[in-house]
Amino acid sequence: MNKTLQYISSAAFAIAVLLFRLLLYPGAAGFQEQNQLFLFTWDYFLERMSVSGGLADYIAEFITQFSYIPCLGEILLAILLTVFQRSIAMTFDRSEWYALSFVAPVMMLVYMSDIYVMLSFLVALILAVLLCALYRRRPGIIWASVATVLGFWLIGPAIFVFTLYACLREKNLKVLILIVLSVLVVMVSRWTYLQQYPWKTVISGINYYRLPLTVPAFQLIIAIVTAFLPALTGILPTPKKSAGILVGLFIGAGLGCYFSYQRDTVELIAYDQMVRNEDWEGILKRAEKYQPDSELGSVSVNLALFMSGRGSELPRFKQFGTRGLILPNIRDFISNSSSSEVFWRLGMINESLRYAFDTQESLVNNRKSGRWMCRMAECQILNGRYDVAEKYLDILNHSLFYRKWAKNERRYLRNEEAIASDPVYSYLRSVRYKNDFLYYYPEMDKMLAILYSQNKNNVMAAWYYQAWTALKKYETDDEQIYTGNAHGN
Amino acid sequence: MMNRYILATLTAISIFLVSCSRETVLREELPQIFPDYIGVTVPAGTAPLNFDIPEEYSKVFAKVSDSRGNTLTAKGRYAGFNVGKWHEITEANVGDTLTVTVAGYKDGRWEQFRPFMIFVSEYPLEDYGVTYRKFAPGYETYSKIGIYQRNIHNFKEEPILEGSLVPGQCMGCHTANATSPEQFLFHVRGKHGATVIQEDGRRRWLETQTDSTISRAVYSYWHPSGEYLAHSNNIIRQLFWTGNNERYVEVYDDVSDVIVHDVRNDQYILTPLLMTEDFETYPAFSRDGKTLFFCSAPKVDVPAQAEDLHYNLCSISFDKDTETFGSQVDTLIDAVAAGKSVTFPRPSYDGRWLLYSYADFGCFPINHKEADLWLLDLQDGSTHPLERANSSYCESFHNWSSDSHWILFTSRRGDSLYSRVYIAQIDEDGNASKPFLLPQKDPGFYHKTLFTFNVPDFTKEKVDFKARGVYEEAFSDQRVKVTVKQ
Repeated sequence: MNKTLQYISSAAFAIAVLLFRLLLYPGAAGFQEQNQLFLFTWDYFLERMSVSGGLADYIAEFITQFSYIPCLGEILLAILLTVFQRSIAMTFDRSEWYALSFVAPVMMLVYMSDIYVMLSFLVALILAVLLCALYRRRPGIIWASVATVLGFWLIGPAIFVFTLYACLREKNLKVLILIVLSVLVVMVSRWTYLQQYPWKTVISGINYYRLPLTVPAFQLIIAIVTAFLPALTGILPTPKKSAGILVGLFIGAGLGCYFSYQRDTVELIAYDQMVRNEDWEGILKRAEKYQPDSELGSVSVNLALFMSGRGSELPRFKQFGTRGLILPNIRDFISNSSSSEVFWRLGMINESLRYAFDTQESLVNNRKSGRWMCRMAECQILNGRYDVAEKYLDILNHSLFYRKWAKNERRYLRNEEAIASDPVYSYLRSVRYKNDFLYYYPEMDKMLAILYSQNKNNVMAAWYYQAWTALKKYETDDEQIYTGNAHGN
Repeated sequence: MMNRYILATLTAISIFLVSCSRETVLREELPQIFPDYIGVTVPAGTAPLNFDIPEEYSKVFAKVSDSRGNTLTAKGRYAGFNVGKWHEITEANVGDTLTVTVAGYKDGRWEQFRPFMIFVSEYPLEDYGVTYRKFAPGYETYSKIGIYQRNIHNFKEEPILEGSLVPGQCMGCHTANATSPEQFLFHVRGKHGATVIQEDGRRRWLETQTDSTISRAVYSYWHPSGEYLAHSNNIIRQLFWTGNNERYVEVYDDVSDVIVHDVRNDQYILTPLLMTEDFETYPAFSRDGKTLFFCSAPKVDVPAQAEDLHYNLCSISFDKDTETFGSQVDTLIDAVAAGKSVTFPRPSYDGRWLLYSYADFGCFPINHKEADLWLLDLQDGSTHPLERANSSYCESFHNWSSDSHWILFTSRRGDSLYSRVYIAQIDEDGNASKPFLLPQKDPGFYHKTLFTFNVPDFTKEKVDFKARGVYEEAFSDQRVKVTVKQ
């Protein structure tokens, strides 16, 4: 394939990725961004670097923070996948097989439709492949050995893509050094600075997948394909039509994307991000095309109905009982999201805080969330717990996109006048509960009634009460009561 | 032209000299330092009390001096003292005072504050350090949890066990036998839950739920002989206060009992006196092992009457030779009558005192702003609050050093939510000194961290816990089943 066609196909790939993500995965970039909080602090850098794969993770989180502007996030992802493809192409000895350099990036694109896949894996692969490209130009067993050892620390087990590539090129006994080193570096790492991780996690990568102890087979397949493809291109006969391979690849990619596409998850995330951006009309337009198929989606749609002044249209949309208005607390990083937003607007500040906190703490890879830390700071300001709010604001102050907001919020700390003059804070303080009592989800209707009876301006409480009462009639009585378990904090 | 340059240069030099020669401003007030170490009592040889002053000062200078003319200085963004030199000056002044002079740099000049004192206790604190759990404080979920140990003679913290090694499981409190790392346990909660007991370097994973008990072991305490454990069995619930900003979480038990566990053969010893319909919890053995303290609340309808839940401090005799309990339960502190609640009894290891939490109601003082530390004199039965140790925020999760001259506890006084570890001296009359916050190398640590410190305890020596094999042991679900002694 000539150079011009190579550049054109790579550019076309980047554009296709961008369009694919923007059209089919709306909200995905913003969702990933809200599940981390990149900080420009030395402590944050050291924390990342304290485990295997830390550098890849640090770079990935640095890039992901730009998804605060979702379109920018998708552009960066398209660029990364294209860099990945171009890097793979640089490892090929024969440019006529350039089309095959798209295989792993396309697989990666399909794989990333899984919301638990972390960008760290892609960054680690890119860095490993760049080392492969370097090795092709300057082979050397010594620097390959050093790169294997350091690479395991810096980018994690993806370094073995490089090690495998080097072994396949060497084809002599020197590869034994690399193999022995690879085994040793994993064992020594596990026995020293990775003692607090199971073998499975150490070998499969600490930050490649959000769920611990879960290693998708696709992750392994992509790594193997990336490592073996260059060697394969060396032994394959010269292709007759590269364009045909490209077309075949794009058809394969299309099928892969089609079968991996999880419509319900995509919708939930899209709703969640629209709630975050208060795009109420957008939610309703989307819901009219594709009715919510879960309680969580219904919470977003019902909130949008009220916020857009179209509350009377509630029966037009598919309902899931009272749980479609406000969900009970669920320990994951998706389910509580919209309910926390409902509580916030109702003036149920402690509940909004609790749902926001639990959503953040449900990030099982121990990350914090910019979005939810902002909400927690707001709740603590309303609660007058200014020292805690200040802690959150000072942390957010070290981020890129929340810094300005955090600086602005500082004026409310220990400043009752500023709070009273702020329309949102003053309203929420006026509508919140006046008396203390224990929250009890099964009696939400009573809690909403109290909220409204204390302040008749709280029309949202009245609407939610009416909706709750109406939807409750259609429910059975065997709903489980959820109280949770203490953990001794 | 040349003259103008000379004039400008001379002017600049003059301005520089004037600015350099500005006198230090003396201020009458004490410095606002964080942590508040003004007037605290410290043992010799612990980590230095590094501190910071308000942000408006770009630099801080601190000088520690004693009556013999020895001095120790620190200067920088915060006052960070050399560990070895801090040990030297505190060890040279046991039973004496140190004077700390602090100056802050602001607007091109130093402002020197009124010096303050630090008292060096005559009681040493020879324990290696403290153990504690750390996680994000709040509600039902935590992304990262771990048990750690911290050398209190320097700033080194190490994990004993982190949640990353047993994903999806929660870890209970590290419970040592009178601060000894030779014998300790912790509970693992979750699908692969167990009670992990390590004795003399060997550990075993127990299934502590039996047909005769209501739950797995929850709050545990070692018999001084090391042959028995007292556990409470609790069905724990938590609910959430929704109305105001004073309180967020309420933890209560649906039911609870107290049992004794013979760790030599992993059998329970039960008595109906500790398994009534009332709520028995928080067991603790006396130093001689002949008395089992515990808390007991008359049964109420929870959660509806959660605010009517009041716990007394009770005791029952225990004879380890015959493995029998006494025939009656004694009430040592009738908190029910006072409309209060006693929880978390911790007898001193010299047998003299019993330290406990005193709150308005309930069994979980960490969530009660009003919870304070009180001391019971086991010789005459008198009680009193530890006024110098208490604050307007909650104090709880306390315990004794191995020599019983020091206590540690957690308090939320720092920011009302994140618990931190404080250490105070207890004198012969049972009075606490002003406590000091567990020092950190960077005093800003506490403001930056999103972890709360939970259930701290002293450890006499460094805990040797091999993380290797823990994951496999936890997820294998191979457990030693505890049975009930017939």
